[in-house]
Amino acid sequence: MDSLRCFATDTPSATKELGQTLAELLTDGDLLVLTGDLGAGKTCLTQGIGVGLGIEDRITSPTFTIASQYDGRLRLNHLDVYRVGQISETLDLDLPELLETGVTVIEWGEQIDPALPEDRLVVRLGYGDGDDDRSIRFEAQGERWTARLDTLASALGTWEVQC
Amino acid sequence: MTVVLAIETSCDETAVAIVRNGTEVLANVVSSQIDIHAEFGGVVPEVASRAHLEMLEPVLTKALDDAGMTGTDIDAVAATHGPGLIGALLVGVSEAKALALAWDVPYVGVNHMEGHLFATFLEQPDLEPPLVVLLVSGGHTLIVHLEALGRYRILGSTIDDAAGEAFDKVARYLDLGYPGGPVIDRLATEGDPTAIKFPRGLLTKGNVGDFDFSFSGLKTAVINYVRKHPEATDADLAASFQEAVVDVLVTKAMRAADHVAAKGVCLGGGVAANSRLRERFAEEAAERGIDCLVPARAFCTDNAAMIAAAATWRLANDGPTGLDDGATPNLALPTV
Amino acid sequence: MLTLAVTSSTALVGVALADLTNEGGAANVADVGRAEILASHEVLTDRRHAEELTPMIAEVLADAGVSLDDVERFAVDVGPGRFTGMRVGITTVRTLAVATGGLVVPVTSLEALAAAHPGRNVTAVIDARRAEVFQQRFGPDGPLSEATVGGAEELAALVDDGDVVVGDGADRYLDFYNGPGRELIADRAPSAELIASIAASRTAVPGHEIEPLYLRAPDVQVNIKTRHNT
Repeated sequence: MDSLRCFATDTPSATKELGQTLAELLTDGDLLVLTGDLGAGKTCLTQGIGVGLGIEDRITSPTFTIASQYDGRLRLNHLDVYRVGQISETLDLDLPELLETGVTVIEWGEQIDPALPEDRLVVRLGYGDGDDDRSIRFEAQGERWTARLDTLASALGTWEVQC
Repeated sequence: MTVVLAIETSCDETAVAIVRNGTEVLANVVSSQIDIHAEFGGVVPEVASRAHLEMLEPVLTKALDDAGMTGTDIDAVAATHGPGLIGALLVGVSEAKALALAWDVPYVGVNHMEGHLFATFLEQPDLEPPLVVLLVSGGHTLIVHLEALGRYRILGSTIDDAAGEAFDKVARYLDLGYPGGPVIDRLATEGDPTAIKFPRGLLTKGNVGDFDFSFSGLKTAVINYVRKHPEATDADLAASFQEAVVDVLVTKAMRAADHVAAKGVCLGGGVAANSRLRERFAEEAAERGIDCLVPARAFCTDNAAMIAAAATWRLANDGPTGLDDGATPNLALPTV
Repeated sequence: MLTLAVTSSTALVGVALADLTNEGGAANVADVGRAEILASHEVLTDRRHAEELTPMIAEVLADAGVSLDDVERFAVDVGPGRFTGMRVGITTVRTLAVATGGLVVPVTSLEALAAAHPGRNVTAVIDARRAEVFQQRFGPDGPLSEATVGGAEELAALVDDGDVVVGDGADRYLDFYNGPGRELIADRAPSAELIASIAASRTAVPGHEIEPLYLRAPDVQVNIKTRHNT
């Protein structure tokens, strides 16, 4: 499938670096949905994205308060919706409005799938063979992302692997 | 004489307390929602907000009954206005502001983290600053230098997951149930804390002057270990994981106390209910010959008495908060 | 009878103080208009319901020159609408009532919308987001259907030609709600003044009996399932 690209990293700092490189190509209104088991590196990747967006504040896990915002070259909306039980509740957080400004990264975003717009980059993080090995799969959904996937993948060429 | 009624609804405890002069606890009622959320493996915000709305009225009535008071005896009303879950916070803030309006007394919005710092003084009002306070909960991991009441510096905090979050996530991974802290605490007593050598995040010699924490790597190390050693017992995993967390927390807090020449060290936040942490913290403080306060578990976990204590001080020093106050989910501790 | 009415279940936060002179009428929403409004404030806000509401109550009381202790009865919009806004209004009014010994009349947001058009068939529609609306139909003598939540397209099909269609839900899903013979007054929110009027004909209850009308259960089970599949 054309809308799929795969990458691999072997340290948390490489995952961060991938996020940083990716962030340089992100634009206002981009939505990234991160999925993957506990410890797969969702927050780690987001920290890299933060660096790439020029955010100086420390990006920590948003699990407790659900949503955090940081200002950089673009605003970063960082959400962890693992505990968000009800889809309408995410809309009470004014999700549609959040999505309009800056880059939005949603950890465990698949849980509120129906509440999210169609245009999104789904990033699946998984464990590899070694302790620190991670597989990172991009699934471009919607015109906004399918059109850019080749550009993104070539910028991340260092880490690209066969899917 | 100031009698403050305080409301705490920042997360999953609905709490009301009445405190005289900042230290004398006349009523301290806490209604926990843990049973409700256990089913979902964590606090579900909308469920929490609904439960606060249902529970607040009876909890308030019980607090007034316990203190043998009515509205006319109350001099000020306070509420936690952050950090916490926005929908949950707003129930408490709305209730407190309405009471202030009805009773015609000042309203005080209180920072939840400052409340935890004041929990210390509820039990030992004569504790002398400067102090180093280790605040550990589901949402926070902080080492605070308390120079004087109202004067705080953050010496260190987590760069990824909070300590309590690590407990919850490891318990979730091992299928031990929710909340993770008490389950792991209990299970650890049956296991060997030296069975598995888990990494101590940011604790190497090169990091001696660094009081920040990292628990994400530890969480991943537990997961990796289980993947490779499916035969490992939950008890050994729990004991070894807990030992790693406690080791980092206590070592860093004591190094910070040395660094600022603190007269004493205190423990606060929900994770401060952990038995092993309480034990190690007291031992190490005793070795250094400095004051040590490990509050009763009831004052470590979320409660409104600590909010009333902080409100009493804030009211005397900064005056009341306006009735146009709202809630801020990511509210930071006010620092100098 | 001095009545303080509050709404905060939509983007509109409103407070009205009214003198109700006629009680005990039939319990239908058309039975309004007997309230003399003494003071009233309202503001549109996105997320500052809690910030706006308490000071607004103080201002309305000050404008009318009465104290809270003079208020004999409260009325509150119990939804359906935005959960956080509903809880702010209900918590506030319930607390004021309990503290002052007053009673409270619960009024739904949909009734309040319909009450602006006495004598007509009205479909009241409130945006429930994620392509859904809260909806109820009213006739000159009272409700014609239950308050319900559902897809906007599906519920819009239940509107009769000739209805007045009112509320922000109709505004958001205009394409579905426009139709021959319908009068669309979409850009409206429940008003505190009408809530006070409706309260004139209703029985008041103790504050602690007031409950929000969520209409939607927190359907966490769905997500628990998702979680186990991943």
